[in-house]
Order: sequence, then structure tokens, then C-alpha cells
Amino acid sequence: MSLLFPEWTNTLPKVVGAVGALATVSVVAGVTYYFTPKFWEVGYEPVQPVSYSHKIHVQQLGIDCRYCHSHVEESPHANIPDTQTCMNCHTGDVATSTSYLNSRLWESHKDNANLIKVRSAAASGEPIEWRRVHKLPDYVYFNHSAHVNTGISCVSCHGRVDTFAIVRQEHSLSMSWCLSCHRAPENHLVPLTEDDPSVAPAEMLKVTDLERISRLIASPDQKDRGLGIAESRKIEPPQNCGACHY
Amino acid sequence: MTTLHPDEAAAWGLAGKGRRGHDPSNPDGTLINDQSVRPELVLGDRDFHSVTETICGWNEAKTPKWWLGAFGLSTSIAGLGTLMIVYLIITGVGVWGLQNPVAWGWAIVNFVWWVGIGHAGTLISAILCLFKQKWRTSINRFAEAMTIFAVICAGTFPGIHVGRVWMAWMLFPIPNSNWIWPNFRSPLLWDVFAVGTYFTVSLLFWYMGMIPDLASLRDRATIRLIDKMERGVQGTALLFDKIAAYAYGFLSMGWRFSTRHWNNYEKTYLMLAGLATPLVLSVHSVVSFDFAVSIVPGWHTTIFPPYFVAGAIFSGFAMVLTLLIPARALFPGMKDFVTARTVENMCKIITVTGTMVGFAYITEFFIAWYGANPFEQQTFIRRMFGPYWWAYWAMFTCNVVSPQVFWFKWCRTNIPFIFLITIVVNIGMWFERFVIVSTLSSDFMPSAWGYYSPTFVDIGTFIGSLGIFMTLFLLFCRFLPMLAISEVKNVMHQAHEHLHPHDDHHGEGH
Repeated sequence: MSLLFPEWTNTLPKVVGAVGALATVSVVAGVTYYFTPKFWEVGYEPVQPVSYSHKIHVQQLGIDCRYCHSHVEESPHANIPDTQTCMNCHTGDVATSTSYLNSRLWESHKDNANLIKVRSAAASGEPIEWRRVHKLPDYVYFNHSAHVNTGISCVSCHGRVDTFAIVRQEHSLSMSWCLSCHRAPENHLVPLTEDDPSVAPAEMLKVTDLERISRLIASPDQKDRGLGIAESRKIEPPQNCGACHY
Repeated sequence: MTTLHPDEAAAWGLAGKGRRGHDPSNPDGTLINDQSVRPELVLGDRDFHSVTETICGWNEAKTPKWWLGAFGLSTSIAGLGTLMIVYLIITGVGVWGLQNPVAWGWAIVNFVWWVGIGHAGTLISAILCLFKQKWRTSINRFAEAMTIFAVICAGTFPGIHVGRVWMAWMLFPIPNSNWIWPNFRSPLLWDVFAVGTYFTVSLLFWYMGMIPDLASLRDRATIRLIDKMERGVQGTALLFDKIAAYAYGFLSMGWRFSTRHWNNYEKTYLMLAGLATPLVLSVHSVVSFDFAVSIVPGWHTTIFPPYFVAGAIFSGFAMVLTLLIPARALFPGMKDFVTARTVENMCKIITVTGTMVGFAYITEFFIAWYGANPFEQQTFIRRMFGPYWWAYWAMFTCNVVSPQVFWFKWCRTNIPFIFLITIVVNIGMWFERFVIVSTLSSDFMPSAWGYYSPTFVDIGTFIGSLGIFMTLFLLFCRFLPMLAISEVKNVMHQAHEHLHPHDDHHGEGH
């Protein structure tokens, strides 16, 4: 042996073993951390053609999500509003504006670069090319109305959009993330009107009231309340493949 | 593992018989009529040194011309197979002839066929070892290598059959962000475990057994190297010896032929033989579950596991002989180790397992009739007389009728004839898998019945897998010790001479 291999090669098996073990651990840890939607998807925050701020529109002006994303309760798809929805308030033609608010907006935002883009889009009929933030793979079928009407709030999947100046992806939208709620919906279920008819309309909880709901689902009694709701409304989210892939 | 048991030696002594007479066997090593005298396992009056010289010589000699030709041909065929696989991956599994209801075509046929072939190696190295069948020592290395290469070919097919090969990792239960696990109730997952275990144990067994022989090759290369250096040879003339010395030196893991090494070696060998023994039975049983656990008529039968195992050993022995017979003719001196008697023994195993397979075919039919299930009956009648009648009768002729010729001594001692029969058996076993898989073309719903035909990609991939197999095998023949040198020496009479003090025929090289 000594004819071929110098003495230091005796330590080679140990070194190879140690390096191999380290490499294995690093690869496993690296894949676990980096090769997941948690790493690649969360925090996606594209620059939009018009820097629309949800924060201003929701928190300052109190507009409900459903004013713009109007089909969320009836349709699988929560639509991105067309330019005309913007123009309901930001009408470009001051002469035809019918309300005080519209004319005020016109005065204050006359030269706003973003609104110039919006107005020109409305005039030309060319839609604004918003960058899509939340995108599921083609082989996944997701229905917004099924979730919203069952008492799953926007905030459970999209985060506190009411506080976002720029929209970003808050959750991984991976399959394990979906399943974590489908297996334990009580952590996110909130009461709808029909759960408590005694609640006065003014105090009714809206699934779009992101601030109130985020406090509610973070509260310690959420689990019990959620279990109660699931029990009374017989909510059993499907876990079979065909529920989302078909 | 091949040492003589003391009882055995005592029994010989009591019977007044030595381990060997002066000429106990026929000159070609075939069985002699006097069954009380054991024939020699190694012919040609060899001493230990000539064994080492011959076996190492196959690796050390100049590359034979036939080897280069065969290697060129094999790699070309393997290249064709690789092209087919690349085409499949780029285009999708639609390039195969698969369509509903035949969702498993040649891919599974080839998978089961190759896995089955592998079984002979494990049987020879594990079960025959535990049963102390000493004639196995000359073929076990060979058969184990064949096992490894056959399992590699087999594993290719499920890997490319998944369609999106980059998702093949999903065959294994790896935690992922989809929270998807393989279906633990599916035999396809059991297959992954069974074949994975099988490959690992076979590889360990094969490699572990090779270490002392690799050390022999290392030492011989080192001596050549030193010899040349002392004679003043320099430069590239030393290159090949250097590569050989370091490569074999690396692979032999510091083996020094010490008693402690041998002690560990023998223990490990026996343990691995014990571990591998259940695998001979379990692997193809699990493969048969792929079919038997389904509810397709003609598949849903309890006879499948034993029937598959018998078929696997049957096809495996045939494949070992298919490779061994040409190798025996082409490598000088190999006939002294792989004697005509060894070949004859293997022919007998082929007859036994072939008859078992035939018995299973007939039992299937009997049960189809006896079970009074019209769907089952229909399936079996269609197998015989339906659109695939030709495959059924090809299978029956090749697997059941052809091995029966080995009842005749002429047939099992005539080497070219044996070679022919082993090819026939391999074809027959391929057809057996094809008959089983093509059952899918007519299942419960007659409106969906169809006729499955392969495309050129199916055929090309299969032929390519034969090329991959042969390429690996030729590399093995050229660069690794083909016979287990130490084990062969252990079954020579010189190794046990001290038990027979009256025997005047002393070997050399103790």
C-alpha cells in the first residue's frame, strides 16, 4: 500500500465521510429552504404601470374590496377592475363631472403622472397592463366565490392588502399551504351574518374588513369559534386531488 | 463460506473415500456415473498461481479485437436507445404506443423482464452460497455483475415512463411543499423500495466480494510498474500501469490480505448472503403485486408472486448462460473454471424453473375455469385465441416446451445447443410479460377494447437497453476480475489437502 499511497491517504475515508455528511446536510437544508414557493414566491412585489396604492383607497377613503374586485362573490375569478372603474371617480372631463368629489379629485390630481396614464388609457380604450401578482399554476382550479362566501376573508390569503402601498404576495400559495387550511379551516373561518342573526347590520362583519378580521383570527378564541362555525355550517373542505386538479 | 465443513470431511474419511480420486470426472468436467466421488470443480491440473495468472490475465492482456468490435456495436446500440429516450423526454410519452386502456406498454414489459433477469445473480451468490453449492464460485461474480446491469436497465423504464422525468424524484417519499406523498398503499411504491433495496444489497455484495481480487490486480499492477521503472522505462509507457495501480488501489480500500481482513470478509459475505436471500423471493413478488393487487381479470390472482419468482430465476439463468457461453469460448482458460458440469447444473435449474412456470400457466387456466368468473374465463380464452394468440403461444413454446429438452443429457452438454435454448428462453420470458401486460387491451369495458402496438420508439428503447446492458457487461469483462479468485481457490483440492494425508497428489502454492 505504501508503495502507491502516501500516509496521509489513511485519513481520506474520514475526510470523505465528514465532507460527504456535511454536503448531504447542506444540500438537504438548501433544498428545503430555497427550493420552495416560500422562498421564491413570498414577497413578489412587481412595479406596476400605475402605482396604485391600496392603502390610500382602503384606509383613507374606506372603499370596500368589492367595489373594484366586483365579481369575487359570484365568480371563481376575482377580477382586476377595468379602467372605467377608476374613471368612476377619476373622471377626466371636468365639464361632465357630476359630483363634488369628482371635481375635487380633478383639481388635486390634474397633473398626476399616474392618473394621466389612467385617463389616456380610458380615452384610447387600451387597457392598463397590470402585472399579475398572485398566480396559481394552470393545473390548479381555485374558486374565489367558494371561499369568500364560506367565511374565508381576503386577508387569510392576501394579507393586509389595505395597508399595502404596492401589492405584494404575502403567502406561498403552495399546495401544502392550501392544505394547511383545508385540513384545519377553523383557524380562518369567520362568522357570516347568518351565523348570528342578532347582529345589527351596522355591526355586521364583512369578509373584506381586513383589519377587524385579522384581529379576530389572531385572537385566542378563534379556534373554538371556527370549530363552532364549521360544525354549524358543516364546512368540510375537500382534500381529494380532484377538488383542485381536474 | 466455501470452506469444508468438518463433518463433511469426517464423512468422507468414514466412507474410506478421499475428496478426490485421481480422475473422478470426465475430462470435460461433466458428471461421472459414480455419484459418491465428487468431480473436480477446477480442471486443467491448475495450481493456485495459475488461477491468479489466468483470471487476472483477462484484465491485463492487450485488449482483444473481438472486444473492441463488440464494444463498438454495444455502445452504438446504447446510443440509439439514448436517442430514443431523449426524443421521448423532449416530445412526451405520446411517442410510445400507449393509449387507453393499455397505459402500460413495453415500458413495464421491459422493466419486469430486466428485473427478473437480475434474480439469477442473487440466487447464485446468496442462496447457492448458503446451500454450499461450490460449483457456484466460478459464476457468482459474473452473475452478480449481470444482476447489477439488469437492474440498471430495469430502473430506466419506470424513470422515463413517468413522462416528466424531472419529477421522477416523486417516486420516493420526499417531504415537499405540496404535502404530497406517494401512495403507500400502491404496489408501485413498494416496487421502488423493493428494487432499491435489491440494487443496494446486490451492489454491496458484488463490490465487497471483489475487494480481495481488486487488491490482487493492484499488487500485480504495482509490481509491473516497479519492474518497469527498475528497467529504466519512463514516461507514457508507465501510464497504463500507473492508472491500473491507483484505480485498483483505490477500489480495493486498503486490503492487505491479512487474516483479520479475511475474517471480516467472510463474516460480511455470509451476512450479506443472508440479507440477499429473502430478496430473491421478495423483489419479484413485489413486482408481481403491480399486477396482482389490481382488479383486472387475469391479473388479480394469488399465484402471481411464486409464478413471477420462478420465472425470474428461469430467465436469469438463461441470461447468465447467454453471456457465459460466449465468454467461456472467448477468454482463454475460462472453460477450466466454468466447466461443462457447471453449465449442465444451470441447465437443470432452467428445466426446473421452466416447469414451475409452465405449471403456473396451467394453474391459472384451471383457476379461471374453476373460479367460474366469466370475465376471468374470457380473459384467458382471449389470451390463447384472441388477438394476441401469437404472443401467448410464443411464450408457451419458449418457456414450457423448450426447457424440457434438458432432460436429455446430449442437450445439456451440447454448448451451442444450450446457447440457442437460452436465447429462446429469454424471448419466451419477454413474451410472458407482454402477454400479461396486453391483457389490458380488453378489460371490463368492451367498447374500449383495442389493439396495442408499439411504435419505433418503444422498440428502439428496448433494443437500446440491450445495448446499455452489453456495454456495461463488456466494461466489466475488461476491467474487473470476472471470477472470484479467492473463492475458486477455496474449492480446489489443494485448499483441503491437509484433510487427506494419504492422498499423494499435492498441489503447489499453499
